[in-house]
Amino acid sequence: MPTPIKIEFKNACKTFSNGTMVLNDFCLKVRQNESLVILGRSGVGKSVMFKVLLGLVYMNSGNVVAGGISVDDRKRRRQYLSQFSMMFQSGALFDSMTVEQNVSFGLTNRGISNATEIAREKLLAVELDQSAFKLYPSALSGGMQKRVALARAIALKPDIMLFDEPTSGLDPVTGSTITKLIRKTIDKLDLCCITITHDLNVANVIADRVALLDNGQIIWEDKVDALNNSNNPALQHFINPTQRTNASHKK
Amino acid sequence: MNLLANIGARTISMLVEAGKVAIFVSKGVWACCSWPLYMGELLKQMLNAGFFSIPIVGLTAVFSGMVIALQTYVGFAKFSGESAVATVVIVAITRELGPVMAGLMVAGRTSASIAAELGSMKISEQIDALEILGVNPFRFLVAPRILACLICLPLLTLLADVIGVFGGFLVGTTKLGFASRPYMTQTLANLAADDVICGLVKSACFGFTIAVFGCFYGFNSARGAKSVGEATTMAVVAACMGILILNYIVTAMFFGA
Repeated sequence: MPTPIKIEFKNACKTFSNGTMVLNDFCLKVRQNESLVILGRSGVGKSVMFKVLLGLVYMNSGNVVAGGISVDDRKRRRQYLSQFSMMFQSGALFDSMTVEQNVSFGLTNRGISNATEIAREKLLAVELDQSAFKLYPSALSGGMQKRVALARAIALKPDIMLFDEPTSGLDPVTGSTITKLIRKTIDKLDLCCITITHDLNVANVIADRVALLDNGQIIWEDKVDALNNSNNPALQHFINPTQRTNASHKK
Repeated sequence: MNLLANIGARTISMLVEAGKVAIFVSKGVWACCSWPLYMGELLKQMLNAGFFSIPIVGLTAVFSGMVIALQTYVGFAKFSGESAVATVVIVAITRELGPVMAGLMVAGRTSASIAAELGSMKISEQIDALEILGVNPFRFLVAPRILACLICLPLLTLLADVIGVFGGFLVGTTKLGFASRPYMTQTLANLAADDVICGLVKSACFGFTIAVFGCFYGFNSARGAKSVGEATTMAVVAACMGILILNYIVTAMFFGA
């Protein structure tokens, strides 16, 4: 029996005031305990899709439901958002707070008394050195910032985790470490998880299922194993853009 | 036709902007009146808007007082009214120069800093992160800044009043040849509670304006360093304009009749 659906986009449409359509009748279902990776070129609206899911950007039409609550249900907004945690592309760590405070802030705000202890535990879980706990984000390397962002995201024990380009701006070795850390976290916490990236290595490690976003719609989706065997031309072009360019040059 | 269309478009865009500010103000006021109040943030903002503004406000006030004393003496000497220097200084400082100079100085310093800080937070997605953590950005970012400016501006104005009068006293007694005791007696005799209260009401309004425009333009900053710069400029310009307009409105309310 398949696990229940945790997130559902129902014909979501989003057009910006300058006329750019980013989501065009967008439909997507993500099941509980499933890790979905959405691939797509830069600027196709992957990050906007996350913002629509979180209700940070309003849709023109359609609906999004997560955990049985509609994103438009303003009365249950707090309950809706409490299901989510997100690791932002930029880290989005609070400049004015130390690493430890960044992680404990959300917990303190929810009235959890031992917030600092939990924060330290999570920072150790993401393999951050203890000497960095009292530092400010500006003093951290890109990889360390991503670790703190991950620790902050998992500290709230969310039902749904969102990862926005988790390895962007990192060197391949650090990127690979962060990717493995995310996979470990997903397995440990058994989460429903959506990752947006254009890095195929990330998709191969993190994903149970992969989808390709283009022109505001999901144009291909399948198990991660099918990623390299698909005949879908858009996916082939995304995976190996130089192949097509070389072919057209030869012609 | 093009000219008319341009005027129409600009009018509509101004009205839209005014509407956005009105909505932002109502959300900000609501955040100030509702729980939780982030005391740590409030103290931090009070330190930033109040304590660290003391040198600049003090310096402006002392020189304003000195200039007023000097100009009054030179001007009033033409009709033998030099003895009114102390009176003019106390009235001008408490009614106008104290609150307006403090307001403009804090607008330049604090409004710009608020807009730049919030603009940077906006483009680095820190404001979105707050929302996802279940923290209302208006309560955490806007309310402490509004309250800090509301509390600190009247205090800074009181300080500017004292320092400004001292500046006038300094010039009056050392350069213009007034005896210190009669000068102080005349100053205290012309110190009116209404003038001071009017100045404090003005400064509270100025504090609100400074914080609101700083937060508004910071929150609405677009992506990129250039946009943060533009937001900062707009915040200072709007706050200064707001201060000058409010200055007339409050003055008319107190002394118009």
